[in-house]
Amino acid sequence: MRWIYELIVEKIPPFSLLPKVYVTTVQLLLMEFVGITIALIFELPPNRAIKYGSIIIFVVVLWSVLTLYIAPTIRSFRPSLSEEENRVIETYKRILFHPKHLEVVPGLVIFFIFLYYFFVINPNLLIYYLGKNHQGVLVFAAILLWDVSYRAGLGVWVTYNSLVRSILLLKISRRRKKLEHTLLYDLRSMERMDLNNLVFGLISLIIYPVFQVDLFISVSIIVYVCMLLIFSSLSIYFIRKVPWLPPDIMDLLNEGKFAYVGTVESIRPHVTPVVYVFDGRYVYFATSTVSKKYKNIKKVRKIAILIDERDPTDLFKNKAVLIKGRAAVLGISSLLYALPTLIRVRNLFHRKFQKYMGVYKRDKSKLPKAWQLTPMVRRIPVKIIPEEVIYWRGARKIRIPL
Amino acid sequence: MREIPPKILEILHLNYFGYLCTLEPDLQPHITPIFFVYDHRHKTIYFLSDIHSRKINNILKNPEVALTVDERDESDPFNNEGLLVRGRATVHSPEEARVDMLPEIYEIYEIFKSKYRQFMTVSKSSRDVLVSIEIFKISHWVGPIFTTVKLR
Repeated sequence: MRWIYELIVEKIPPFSLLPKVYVTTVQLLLMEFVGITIALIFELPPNRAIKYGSIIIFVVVLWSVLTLYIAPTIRSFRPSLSEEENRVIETYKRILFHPKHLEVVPGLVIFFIFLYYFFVINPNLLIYYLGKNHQGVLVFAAILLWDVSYRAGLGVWVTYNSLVRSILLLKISRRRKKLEHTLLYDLRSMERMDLNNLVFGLISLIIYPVFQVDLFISVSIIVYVCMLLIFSSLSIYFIRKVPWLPPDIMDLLNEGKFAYVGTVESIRPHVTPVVYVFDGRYVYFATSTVSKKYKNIKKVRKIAILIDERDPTDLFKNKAVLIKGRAAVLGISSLLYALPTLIRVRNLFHRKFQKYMGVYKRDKSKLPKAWQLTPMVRRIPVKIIPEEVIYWRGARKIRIPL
Repeated sequence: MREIPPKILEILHLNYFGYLCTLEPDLQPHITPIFFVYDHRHKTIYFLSDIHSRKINNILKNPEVALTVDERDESDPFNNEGLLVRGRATVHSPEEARVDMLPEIYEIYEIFKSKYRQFMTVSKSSRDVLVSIEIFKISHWVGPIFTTVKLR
């Protein structure tokens, strides 16, 4: 299913003939050209009709850019590994891309309210913007009004439904069992989309100066912006709280103590054990600035970390999770932007490894000279930004091929 | 120094799990826990893996591997002991295993059998292949003290 605007872009020339990147630029130029031509032919007041008209066209095009990004993102969500969460995502997609084009409804409401306002309640506004002889351009003005209303309606529609989606997903995620979860990649795109909706809301502020002479419209714009900002920030807040890992892996990450960190040294792999902490979202380990892995990460940020649980009595009861991604070194410079994270990570380490770290302090003399002089200060936390997660449960028997 | 100290041999013989790190073609590290054996005569480590597994795929494109084998103590970091082996892996597919190599391969299976007794099974339809790791360098640590043995 496609939104009407997408269908126009895909099916109607000249847009359908253009590569996607140029569509919105051509749209901008075309609308501007038509608008300015009409304004000149009908001798409209230039600094209102042309200036304000251009601002509105500009906003319409900016919104179009976001729309063309948001729509495919929503359609790209893959099936969630939790049946219930999957139902939420599917419903969300179905409402947003309803075959009866429900997405037009909020736009129609906005359109008719303003049509009524301009023609019945406050006809002077039309004279203010378009001059006394504006009958000839009403069709173009109405089309522009529809363009704005349709996209504004789409913005509300998407933002509201995303908020509902985030709340439901968070609620359901609390009841997950074993390996149920929604894919990290999709959770991230949802978050990015909400951020887009936030920008979508902020863009509407550009229209504000155009209508500041009119109280009703200015207030409507402010209300609209606030609504979008609140909806989308709440949605971001809730979606970030949805765990991106299933309960089984969360348990493993919460209970494990040691991990193996794989890094790259030119074209050779390197792997060493570390102690780590998990804050519910990310895995962190601490490393010395003189260690090999630190030097490796500084050159190539690609990293893998494996956390496992071994049962000494039964090799088959082992489970392991491998997280592949990028390493973010939380060095001195990160004090500026990641102080809360640094404090949280430090506390997590102290709580989890109280005894373990205590030994370092007690038996300082057993440490190599270099370590004694540069104690914990030179141990820098590294955050793993995940890109792929692999989970094993139970080793299989060693099969000897015959 | 070309001889492997007994301390290191002990770790290689007594530990069931090893953590093998390979590189994907884009240099992304990949780690997998493996069962392995060490054959002292050839100073080589062996493991078995499904021919379609990610690590075999990686090794075929880049044979450089790293393997960590360690003993860990949750309450005292000074008791942590382990080693990092760096070397080059070779995949011995069943077709490649020449007839004159068969006795050697069987000997390696025997080492597997003695180390992992109850965890072994014999399979006729297995897609598993034998992989050997030729050791270049071993780093050994006890607590914070490191030593390195170079074999090549």
